[in-house]
Amino acid sequence: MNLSITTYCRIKNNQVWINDVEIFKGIPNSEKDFLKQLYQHLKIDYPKFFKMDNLSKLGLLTVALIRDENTKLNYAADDEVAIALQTEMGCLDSDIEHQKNVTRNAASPAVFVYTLSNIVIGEIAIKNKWFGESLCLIGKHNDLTDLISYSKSLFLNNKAELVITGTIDSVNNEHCVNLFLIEKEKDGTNFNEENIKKLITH
Amino acid sequence: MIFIGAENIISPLGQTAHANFKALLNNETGLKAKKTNLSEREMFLSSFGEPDKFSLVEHSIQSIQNSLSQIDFDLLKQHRVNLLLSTTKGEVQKFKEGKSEEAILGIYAQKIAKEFAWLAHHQVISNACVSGVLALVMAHDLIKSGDYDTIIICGADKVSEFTIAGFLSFLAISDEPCKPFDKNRTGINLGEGIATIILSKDASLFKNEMFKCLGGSSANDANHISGPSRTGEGLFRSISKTLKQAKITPEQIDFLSGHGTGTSYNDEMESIAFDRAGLSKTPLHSLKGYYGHTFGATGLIESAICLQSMRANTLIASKGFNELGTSKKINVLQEHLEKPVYTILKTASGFGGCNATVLFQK
Repeated sequence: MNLSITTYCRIKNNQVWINDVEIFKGIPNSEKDFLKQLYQHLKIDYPKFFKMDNLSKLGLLTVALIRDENTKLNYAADDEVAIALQTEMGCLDSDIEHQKNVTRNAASPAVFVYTLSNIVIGEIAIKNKWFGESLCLIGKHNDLTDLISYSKSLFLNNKAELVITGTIDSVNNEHCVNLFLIEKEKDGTNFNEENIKKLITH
Repeated sequence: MIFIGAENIISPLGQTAHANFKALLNNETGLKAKKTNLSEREMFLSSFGEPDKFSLVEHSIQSIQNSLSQIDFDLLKQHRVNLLLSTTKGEVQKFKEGKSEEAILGIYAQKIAKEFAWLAHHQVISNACVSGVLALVMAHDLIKSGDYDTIIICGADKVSEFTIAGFLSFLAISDEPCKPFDKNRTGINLGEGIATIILSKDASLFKNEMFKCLGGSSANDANHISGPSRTGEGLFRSISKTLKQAKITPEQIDFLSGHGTGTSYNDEMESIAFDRAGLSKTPLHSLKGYYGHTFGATGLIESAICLQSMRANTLIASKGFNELGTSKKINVLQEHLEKPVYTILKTASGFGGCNATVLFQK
């Protein structure tokens, strides 16, 4: 089966690239943080965004960028899109915030719910109304063996027509995300570990 | 064909899967009233001691070693082997100790994997309460596609002040032992434990009787991050896909191992999904009345008990259940039941709207 990376979104150092073309750069020292700047730049109207932790905000915006670029996502059936992400630090921001709340005897459900690494996937699924397969792995960005094998197996087992996969991390306002849209296509960059690593590290 | 067996459970009810199964047959429960620093009232916990004290690394290694004792290790060494670690919060006490960086789940995984130098790879899966069932689905699919010959799955989570405080803030913790699917259910109890299960392409790896894993699937509710779908949409879709892939009809399912947390909304959602999937007559249990909710371990503890049930042809009653309290009729087991068991469906649902199901067959 020919599987290709057809759309690739990267966010690092408050810069955004789609398929290696820089499309947005955050304004430093603004009173609005980078994620809010990007949200406004994309003209998204989704008030729930402001209740989310940064990891979920980052995932939501990255998928919105991919969806703007590749309209196939608009035509897929609601259970044909799968999401498989890997994060190294998980939901560390929310973990630390929740622990502070626990220490001062004031735990909040609005923070606690984000202390699960997979919530970002739930937020993406809700926003896009996708009911498909989903998976959240934890590991370093240079060890994507299982993430890639699993993403491939989704196609082999007819569990998905389109797969959004890649790495995502957001800690202390440092965001790093590399998400790929994978399709059954001959044209495009072949979907394998070597090519993914090249795109992530170049 | 993918084979499954060599199960282990380490819980307050015992150190092996068989010891745990015997304890369930004797109607024992790990849930005991305990005082914590977080609440005036006592709460029911299935724990080894005080919150945060259970050593997850040491006992995960012990659990994996027990499972390895049930297989042909010389044959395993010729295999390409992956270790999948299923956990939601791992060594979560590190946050309280001010060592947040050490709480990263990859670090917990490394500590375990370094004990098993022959592993080709190890990986953490952290997908809320469906982590364990999803790990089984993932392992099945990775062996099927030829990425590994054998995958060892170990699920582990501990009772911590971190999670107790979180669920107290959600008002989700019951003051009494939980009553999944019951009319008078009032919430969850927390528990800790570890379970290991081995999947392989090679039936001869297993010293004892092994079973088939027919794979499974996941589906999202696309509805709410902390509230289950009112229509059971994700769970229904996940069950439907799993049955369709395996070419199994609802009538062929001998037993349904539900998630059954004991909260009003979750159990109601499950009843709707089971009814929609044509499983309203299938005998069903939740094991939360014995173990509490063990999060990353729950799917594996419950699957290990499914395998024990197939060995013993005996189904375990749903502890805490007296009178049906869901809008859809489901067949919750009130007594242990001796009956031939060939095909079992295991389900799980969790925060983030995730649902997963997997099939086992004798």
